[in-house]
Amino acid sequence: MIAWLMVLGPIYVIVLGTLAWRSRRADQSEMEFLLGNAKLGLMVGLLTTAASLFSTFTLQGMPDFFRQHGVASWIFLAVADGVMIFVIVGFAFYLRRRVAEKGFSGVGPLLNACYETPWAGRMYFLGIFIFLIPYVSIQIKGITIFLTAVFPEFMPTWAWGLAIVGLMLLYSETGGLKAIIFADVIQAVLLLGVVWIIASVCLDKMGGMASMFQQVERENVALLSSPGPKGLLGPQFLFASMLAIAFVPITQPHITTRLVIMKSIKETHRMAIGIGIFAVLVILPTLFIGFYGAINYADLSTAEFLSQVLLFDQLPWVAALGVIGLLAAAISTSDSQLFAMGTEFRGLFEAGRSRMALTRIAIVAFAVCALIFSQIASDELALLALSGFSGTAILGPMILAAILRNRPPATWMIIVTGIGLLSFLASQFGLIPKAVLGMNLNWLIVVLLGLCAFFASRKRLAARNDSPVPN
Amino acid sequence: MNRNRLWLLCCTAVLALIAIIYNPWTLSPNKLDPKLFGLPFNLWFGFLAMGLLILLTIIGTWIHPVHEDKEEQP
Repeated sequence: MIAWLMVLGPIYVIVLGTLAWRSRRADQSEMEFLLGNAKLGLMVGLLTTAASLFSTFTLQGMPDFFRQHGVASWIFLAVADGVMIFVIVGFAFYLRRRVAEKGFSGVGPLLNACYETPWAGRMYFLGIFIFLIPYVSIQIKGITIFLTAVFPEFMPTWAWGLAIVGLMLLYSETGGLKAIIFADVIQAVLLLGVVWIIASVCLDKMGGMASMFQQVERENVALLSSPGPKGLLGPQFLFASMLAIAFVPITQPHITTRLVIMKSIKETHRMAIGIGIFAVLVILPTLFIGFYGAINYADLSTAEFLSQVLLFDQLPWVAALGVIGLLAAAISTSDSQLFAMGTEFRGLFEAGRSRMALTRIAIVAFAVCALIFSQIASDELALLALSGFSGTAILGPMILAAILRNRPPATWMIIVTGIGLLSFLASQFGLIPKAVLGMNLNWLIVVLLGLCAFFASRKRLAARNDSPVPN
Repeated sequence: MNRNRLWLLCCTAVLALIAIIYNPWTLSPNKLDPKLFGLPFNLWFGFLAMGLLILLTIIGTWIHPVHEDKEEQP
């Protein structure tokens, strides 16, 4: 495997470097760097969005989820993605209409323009910073732990982290969003190819689908139904997860930006359908890998199971591709999120000559933050990262209030969103209960904020109607 | 029926499907039957739900009111 990795690894790095160099232009403007100056067509738009959405969690986390929690994991991620693509169809139309009216240099500035106050963008940035930095750091941590386990003598964990973050920054700082998009296209194809090759090997070793289900039933029948052997995937957990995932295109800046830079709304709609099909194609094989683990490695830890199934049970060239596929999955999501956070950070400042330099520095600073967090990650941080999507979902109603109505929402919506974020954080750290009257606090907050968003839009309108009409 | 109404109908269908998928009866504990082609209930129902959501998304893109208007380019 090492020999194959020595061949495939440099090819992968050279391809990324070449794409970054080709995307780079000496006279590259600020907007070209930040938004790619592109009108994305269907295939490029689909693959870059898919690569940004399906992270290390898909290749590392989902097989383990199926192994530990069984078939309801399909509802947890795939069905939730099905709801998300429908949300894209509805939301993209309003988003692009609002962008046509007010311009776009990031989600924060767009919110500022809609709310007519800079506090909307500040609240948005605070939310994504709190929940996305730990999410990125856990991705770096996941891949570095895996690489250290596979190559124990080669480099310490922190050095792997540094190498990965260095590679990410090298091409994103060189070529900007365009380089990231091109790299995403390669990485999405790689991720899909690798996951299917590994799943085919696993399915073959289990003797086909029918035999797989019979063996799983013998090993642990609880894996074949909700809520799974550990009781995690019950209706409330699955519903709360669905809400969090459905809000991803609305609340996470790297996905929202891609909806804006698609060539047309027609292409955006087609892209949404493509994402749904991609989700099926990328999640289904993780079921086979997970059930292979449930049959053969039920008692191993997550890292041991992944090492076995992705590396030691595979042909050497497949194992080498597996390592690169994992790397690609981690990098393609993390770089997009860090870059988008840099763009949003830029939106906090007034226009000026130094703003571009500040953005580049911010991207490096966020990457360093994620790298440091990945090294010192405690249980609480891991918990925070797992709750990342749920946390960003809390920003959803505030964003929808701004995007869906063509009048400024009441500014108190920003304050109640802040209270919602604080309440969710407090529940994650055990300061307040995670459930109220038997209901999951996360989706309760989102539903309450949704009601607030409705009234926030109406109140501002009423206030405007009451104001005297100037002659 | 105009496109706005059709779109609203499509949204209602998605909401109804969500209510069916995530209700405690569908996800009642340890429910293996009825099986379909050897697949346990939660899995084939999950496949069916995903298929229906993709189908409703495809229908949604056909009937979306945006296709009546000329889109403003961002």
